[in-house]
Amino acid sequence: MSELLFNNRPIEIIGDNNYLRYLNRAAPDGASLYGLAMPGPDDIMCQLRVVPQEASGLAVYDEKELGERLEDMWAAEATIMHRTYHVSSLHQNRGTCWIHGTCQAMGMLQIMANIPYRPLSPASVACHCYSNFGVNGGYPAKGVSVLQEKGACPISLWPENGFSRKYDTPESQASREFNWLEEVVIFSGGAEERLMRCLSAHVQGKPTGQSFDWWSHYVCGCWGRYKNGRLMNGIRNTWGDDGFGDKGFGLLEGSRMYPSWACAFLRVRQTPPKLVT
Amino acid sequence: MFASVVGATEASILVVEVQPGIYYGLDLETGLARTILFTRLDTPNPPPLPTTGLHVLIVDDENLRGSLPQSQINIFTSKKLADWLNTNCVKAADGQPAYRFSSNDSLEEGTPARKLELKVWVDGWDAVMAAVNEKRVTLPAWAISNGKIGVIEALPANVDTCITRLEEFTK
Repeated sequence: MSELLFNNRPIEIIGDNNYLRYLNRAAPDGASLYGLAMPGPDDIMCQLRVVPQEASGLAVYDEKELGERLEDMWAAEATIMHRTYHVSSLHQNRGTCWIHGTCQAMGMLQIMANIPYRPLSPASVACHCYSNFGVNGGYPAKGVSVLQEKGACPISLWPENGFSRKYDTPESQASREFNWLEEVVIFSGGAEERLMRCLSAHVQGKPTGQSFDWWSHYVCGCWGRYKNGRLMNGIRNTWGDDGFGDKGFGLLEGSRMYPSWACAFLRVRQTPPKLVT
Repeated sequence: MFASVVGATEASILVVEVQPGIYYGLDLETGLARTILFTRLDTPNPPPLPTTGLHVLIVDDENLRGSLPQSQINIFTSKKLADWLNTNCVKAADGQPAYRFSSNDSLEEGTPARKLELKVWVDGWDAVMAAVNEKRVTLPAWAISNGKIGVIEALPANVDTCITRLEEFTK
């Protein structure tokens, strides 16, 4: 695929010819940045409050129409990427992609609604998921379930990678109700159908959460392109502004772009955060 | 001077309509026109409740968003429109430029969001949904108010038309 540019810089693209180089990333201290790719066992999945796919209201387009809409959105600088580029990417330093990706998506919904954007702490959610905060991996569905049940704290009150319960203060607890994930839809079907549903959600302004078995990684999906008759799946990774792509934004193509599991985030609680200092 | 006399209140205030949907109160006891500016919601196409400075509220039915032309869907994620609103809207009480993108069920009675949201947006949402329920406008729609005049109308077809319309409220 010939170079695609954003801000006059080549967009980072993962495909079948280069995906191996993305399998061995580590934090500066050597910790793995990969988590679990599988969504979760049945006992976790049944805890999710999901909108049935058929009732979600999300349209699913065929490839031709999807390609036209993706490129229309790109030309108009109206992708979720354009709209949220000005804020920094989240930056995991452990295997917490399973919750980092969802928190990244929630922030996008806040920005698009023009609720004051406060980056949300994945650690503040992880503390209610696993005793060890899931630093070596976790189920994305578990993170989604807790966000629907308990909300999240802003990083001003609970550091993004603050894997300690000392941050669980009355003040941080009170902040959770302002950062609440509401509607989620899980995409069923095969790999191609999941991809089409994800990209269709992106053109309707809804970010997605996507797991990739080949990557042992879970990321936020939010845009896409259609070039030379082929779809490309746009993501925002959570390896920081300088760890992947342009502030975390990049594309997946070929067989690497098909998520093994995916959901769409339809709504966060539409409230302004409490003005805490 | 006045377009029409609408009625009188118990406090001996004669309500007059100076522009469609915009009302002043004339105090019958003193003969003075008290500038009690308010909005009646039972009139055709009432403007949003009075605010100071430019406020914009966009409401859509998210179940139907996918059927819209992409040029109109782009309004919800447009950087160009967001930049314009960031520059031209006043600051709301939450410190944000005073615009919101909302949905037809996000601030329903009894929801936690309604309890926590700023009053100006709850009031605006109520006004838009009243217009929808009374079939005076269909979704997607928006409410614009600059403190002097306001409208509730169908959302324009694309970003550029939105900005052209909004600029009328900055003059």
